[in-house]
Amino acid sequence: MRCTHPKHRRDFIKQLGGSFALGSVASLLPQLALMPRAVAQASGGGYRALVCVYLAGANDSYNWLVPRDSESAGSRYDTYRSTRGGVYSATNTNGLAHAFNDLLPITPSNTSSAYGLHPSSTDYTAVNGASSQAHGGLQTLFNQGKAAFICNSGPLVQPISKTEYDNGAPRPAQLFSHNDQELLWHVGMSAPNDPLSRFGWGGRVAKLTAGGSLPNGLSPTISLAGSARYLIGDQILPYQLASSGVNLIDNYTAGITDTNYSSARRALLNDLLDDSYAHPFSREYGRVVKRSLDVGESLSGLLGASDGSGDVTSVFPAGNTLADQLKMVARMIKVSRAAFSAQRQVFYVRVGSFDLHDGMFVAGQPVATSGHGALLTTVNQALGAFWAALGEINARSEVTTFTMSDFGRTLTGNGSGSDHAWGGNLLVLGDAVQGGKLYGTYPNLIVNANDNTNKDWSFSRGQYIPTTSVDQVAATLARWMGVSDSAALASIFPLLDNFSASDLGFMNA
Amino acid sequence: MKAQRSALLWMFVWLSLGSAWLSSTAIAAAASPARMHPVPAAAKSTSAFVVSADISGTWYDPAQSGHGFVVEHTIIAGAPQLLVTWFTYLDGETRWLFGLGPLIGNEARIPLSITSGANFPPNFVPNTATVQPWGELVFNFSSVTQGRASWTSSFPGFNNGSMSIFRLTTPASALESPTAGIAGCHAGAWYDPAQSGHGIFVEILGSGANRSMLAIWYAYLNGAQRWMTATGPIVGNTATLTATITSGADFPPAFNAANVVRAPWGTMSFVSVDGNHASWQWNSSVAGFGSGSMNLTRLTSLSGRECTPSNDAEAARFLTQASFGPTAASVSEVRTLGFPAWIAAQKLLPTTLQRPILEQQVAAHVLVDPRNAQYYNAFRVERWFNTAVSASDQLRQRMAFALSQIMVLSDQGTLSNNPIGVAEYNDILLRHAFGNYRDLLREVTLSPVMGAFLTSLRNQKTDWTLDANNNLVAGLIAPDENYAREVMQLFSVGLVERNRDFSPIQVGGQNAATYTQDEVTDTAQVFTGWAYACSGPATVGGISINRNCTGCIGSACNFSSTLFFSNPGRYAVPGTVTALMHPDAYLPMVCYPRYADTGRSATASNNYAVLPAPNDIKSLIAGVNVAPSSVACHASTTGNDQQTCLNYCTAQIDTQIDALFLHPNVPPMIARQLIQRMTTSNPSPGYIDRVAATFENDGSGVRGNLAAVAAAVLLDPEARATAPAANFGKVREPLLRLTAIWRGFGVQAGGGVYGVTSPERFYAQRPLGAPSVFNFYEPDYQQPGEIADAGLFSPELQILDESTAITTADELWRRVFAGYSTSNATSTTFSAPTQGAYLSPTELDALPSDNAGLIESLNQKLMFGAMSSTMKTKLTALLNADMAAADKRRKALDMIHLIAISPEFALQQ
Repeated sequence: MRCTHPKHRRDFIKQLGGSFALGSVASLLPQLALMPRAVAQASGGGYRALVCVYLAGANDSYNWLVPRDSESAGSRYDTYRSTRGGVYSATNTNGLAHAFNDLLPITPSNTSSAYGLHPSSTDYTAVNGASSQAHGGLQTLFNQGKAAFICNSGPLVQPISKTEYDNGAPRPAQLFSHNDQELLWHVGMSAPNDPLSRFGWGGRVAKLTAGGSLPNGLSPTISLAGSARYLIGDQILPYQLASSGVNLIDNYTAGITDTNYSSARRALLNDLLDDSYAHPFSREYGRVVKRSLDVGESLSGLLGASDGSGDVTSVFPAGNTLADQLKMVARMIKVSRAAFSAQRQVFYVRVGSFDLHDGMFVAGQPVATSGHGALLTTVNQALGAFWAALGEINARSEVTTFTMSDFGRTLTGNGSGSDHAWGGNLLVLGDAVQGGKLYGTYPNLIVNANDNTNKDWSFSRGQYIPTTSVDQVAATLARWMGVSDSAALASIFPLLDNFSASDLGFMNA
Repeated sequence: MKAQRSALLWMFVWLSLGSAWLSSTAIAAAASPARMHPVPAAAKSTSAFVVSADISGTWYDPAQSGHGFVVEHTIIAGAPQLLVTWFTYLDGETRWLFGLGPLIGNEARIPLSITSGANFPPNFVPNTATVQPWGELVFNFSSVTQGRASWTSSFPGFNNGSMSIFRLTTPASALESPTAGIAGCHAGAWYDPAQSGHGIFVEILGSGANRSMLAIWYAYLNGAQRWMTATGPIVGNTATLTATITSGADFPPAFNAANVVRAPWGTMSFVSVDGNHASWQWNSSVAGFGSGSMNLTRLTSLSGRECTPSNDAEAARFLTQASFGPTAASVSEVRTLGFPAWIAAQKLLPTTLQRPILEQQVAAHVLVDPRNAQYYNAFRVERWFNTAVSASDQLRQRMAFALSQIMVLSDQGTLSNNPIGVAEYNDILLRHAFGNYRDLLREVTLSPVMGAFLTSLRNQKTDWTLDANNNLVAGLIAPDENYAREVMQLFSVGLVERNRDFSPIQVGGQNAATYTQDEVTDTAQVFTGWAYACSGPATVGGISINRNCTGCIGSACNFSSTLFFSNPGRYAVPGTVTALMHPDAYLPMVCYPRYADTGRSATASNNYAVLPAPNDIKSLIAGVNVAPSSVACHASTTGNDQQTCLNYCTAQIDTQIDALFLHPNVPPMIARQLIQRMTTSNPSPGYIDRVAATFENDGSGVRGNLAAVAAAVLLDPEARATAPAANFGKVREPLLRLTAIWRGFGVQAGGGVYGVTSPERFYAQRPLGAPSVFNFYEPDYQQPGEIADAGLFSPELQILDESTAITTADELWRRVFAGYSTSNATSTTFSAPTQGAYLSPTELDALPSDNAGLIESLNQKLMFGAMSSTMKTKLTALLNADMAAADKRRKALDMIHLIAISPEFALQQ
């Protein structure tokens, strides 16, 4: 049985116990060390990047992608509407469903039934200062075949039916808990005790495909949103910058003779940062600050080049923190390719406030732009502008953008919002995506579903058991990044063998 | 330090330590109920055990009960050493062997000596005892409770050997002031300087009414070593001890516990005078000893359990853990009072609250220049800094800041228009910071501000109605689970079952979950029916704010649908709704029973029947249940039933709070996080266990006494040890870096304001303004790389990144240089800022003028003397060379900022 393999490996690691701290994981996991980073080159070379858009707090994604077959009784939409307590309105403030006609129609080419997107998913015009530019929204991008959804996905140890769940079959630890489930999305392979889980799957992919840092010290994994386990790999620490770009330290400029001894103080600061310290916290602080100074000064020159080569002209909407982050991602891609011929990069951006236990809808406000709609508008507009920028820098087929979120939410409401659940829907966007389709299995959206034939399993509040695992999604993207060898995939996704498909088919080769 | 060292050396040169080993049965009874069992294998740490100050105590091999070791952890010349005395036997006679050796990691190699030749007082004559080398004793500790002793000796009659050793006693932490009576800090060795050569080892055991003393007298009788053990209760400044003398056994391997003959020796008493002086009396019925008395002076202290800081640096280090940064005045205060008395004095200070003042300030402002509510967030943050920096109840403020990072509430998001409510929440934390955790948890739970943040405000039950077949069925609306989940996961018990030392309890190799999803769902039902109180019109800061309570009276108000959904008003002018609001918006929520889950249906036609099982019962954590209400609670409930319904609401909240409060996970969960916020990111299991034990019982039988817990955190030997263990310490929180600099240099509020209103933009930290309920960083965050590889936690590093490293450095520059001009290289002019804090020019000008002296002064003020000589040398060299022409202010300011962004200052150890 292949599925026993990971257990043996863990036992092996357990035996190594104390010596584990001495070396990198690669020294203990021979298969990792053996994976040549040549896998990237072998796959044909050329730049490729993953951009993870994390929707923090748990996006209510069964209101993002909704069945839209018909309003008649017994239709899939009708089931949705009923389970969610009816359409939200002034007279039904407990309802969480969207009106049929508010949903923006999409027609997946691989389903027999029609769907609709959240009313926020429209084309729009980005305005920023005096500039403006029209962008496509998610409805357009989906219907153009640029975007796809993966349905009812979530952390899994192995496929699990409701009966198996009730009988105690293995399942991820701490279901329904924000920070724990977010971690499982970052890490994949729902095995928090596995040494590999110190690394995120983005970092593991980068390790196998990008190798080390660029010549200026820039890590292959880059966060616009602070620390993220997703980006950590074996000997790979993410570089973190703000969406406003690189912030250079003031008053410590090397080589400047001024009235406050800047150059001398900078030399001393460098000296202090390079010193050896007894305490690991002092050492780590020194490393972070040093890296910040070194990489920052290199990047700052590139991003702020006077010829504009470090900027993009596509208009990103003002007042949209996600758009701000994605604009900097586009600029980083541009300069990394131009200055260093970067081959592989993994980015992480994040937008929060999705934990809508309350305020899914706002009385008297348009559903497209208030409550949950305000958040999805942020996402829709940021992605639309990013898509334009990727076109500007000719990177649409080289950059694949996707969403992750803590978990799906309860289908039944709590009076004004929804609570924590498990499986949910995520978006994938890029020219390399086999778009215009739905992948995985979209559930029937009922409570207490227990249908083994259709793999439709939910709990009393419509918390759906996922039918596609994080690992399957991640492995499909990893394969596109160049981790094509099945042994290499297994080395970074040790639970992948537990699932029937390691390639969900949503990416071009 | 120097005095102590010379005393120790002196003691060893000549030391005729004399004491007797314990009869383990007598001690076991007197010992604190600390766990003797080894740390469970499940304890998650890849680091090897490192001996710290908490190794002190008595140790023995249970298989050889009757002889054993007194182990004292002590610091000599900055390095940890173990002072060990072995109380044993040879050929039926008592022997004591003593020595001092360095601690390296988990090992100590100790050269032992043996003595002979003196007599018992009054016939004791100094210098009649001869000291001879005995051999070497090696201790290898595997945990704070067990280890191995092995020895080599060529002294006549002795031999080589080894045995397992286990902790027998744990000396109490130095939790009280020695001026009021015998205190934990009285532990150590005592002697009469006129009779140096014999003396008494003292340990203080247990707590509260169960406090007792263990004393071992190392002495002589007619030229031969003797030791006597004594135990007894402590009352005030007096310990009255019953002593035992033993004989009959031999040195291992010939030691046989059955051969030990225990005989009553008589009585001894220890009467404390102060932390370093006591009197000692005895009365023995054993031939040759007699009765007598002598005055005792302290010979040794247990490190981490000293009565008073021995220098300013130790006081400043303590204040870095216990306040928003040491000041000259607070250092002096701690030096004078000692640690426990300073804590006791802090508890007595009036609480500096924030909401009442903020409310007045907002009220005054809205009359002049009314702005939308968000505008006033800056007022709240300003008030927080003002309090943190200038309030005298520093420990309470620091505790509340720690609690605000455990029971997190944030003004980022829903509460962005509610600064007064957020300030009142902070006041809840302040009021209970030295109170009881149960009261704190209850008030947090009923705060409508928390209710708004975690959506338990106006949480409603599921309506059960009859379907077409006359069966009761649940409506689709279910109670919001947000608060139910977070109050358990974050504010109290956490996700997995834990031992008192925080190690996870595993079942079948897996961590055991503390609660199930079903229990979350049922807990959410308890938190239903609560909404704003309605108390009628109010006057806030002289401004009347209406509140229409519909004319209802008494309990009838709690059955009003209108009031359940009513919002307390705010002061508003056309187009502008200010932050000034009716107090009902922050006063405790009240129950509206018709919306609360009472285990009954919502349908009149079946008389609001009790729901069919299992929906009638709420099954909460740890097997606690809430039964359905005895009466129906609905819109038409009248008369006495109304009060019965209200009582049901209150009772079920109390049941819920108690289920959490009494859960065995709460002591280690709260202990570990308070430790992390104040002293170290990686407390040893023993440290957590000791603090958690204080949470369980403050010594007076009270559970949840947060004042006692705070003292236990700060006064634990692991925290107080002057040479802390290698990985002890934490990364300074960004806001604490700023406040430490401000307080260190006499910060002045220019124009009456500190002027930091959006600290999160630079520091990624804002008081009561975390990005989510998961705080700025998580207790289990492990920075990837070296720190994670070593199995260490480093919460604060979660917000240090390439971006915040720079924004923090730049912002600290602005604060350090506020008011000071750098336009000229050799003179630094000052112009007081009109709207912002600045470092006092007087304080800067008072700094030493010589460069090395200046650096040392900054080291004392900012780094409690912990700056490495390398760093001092480098900073001084810069001042001597490139900056030689700069004036003192410039040198000071440039150095303050360099220190502030240095790797050494980043660590609080």
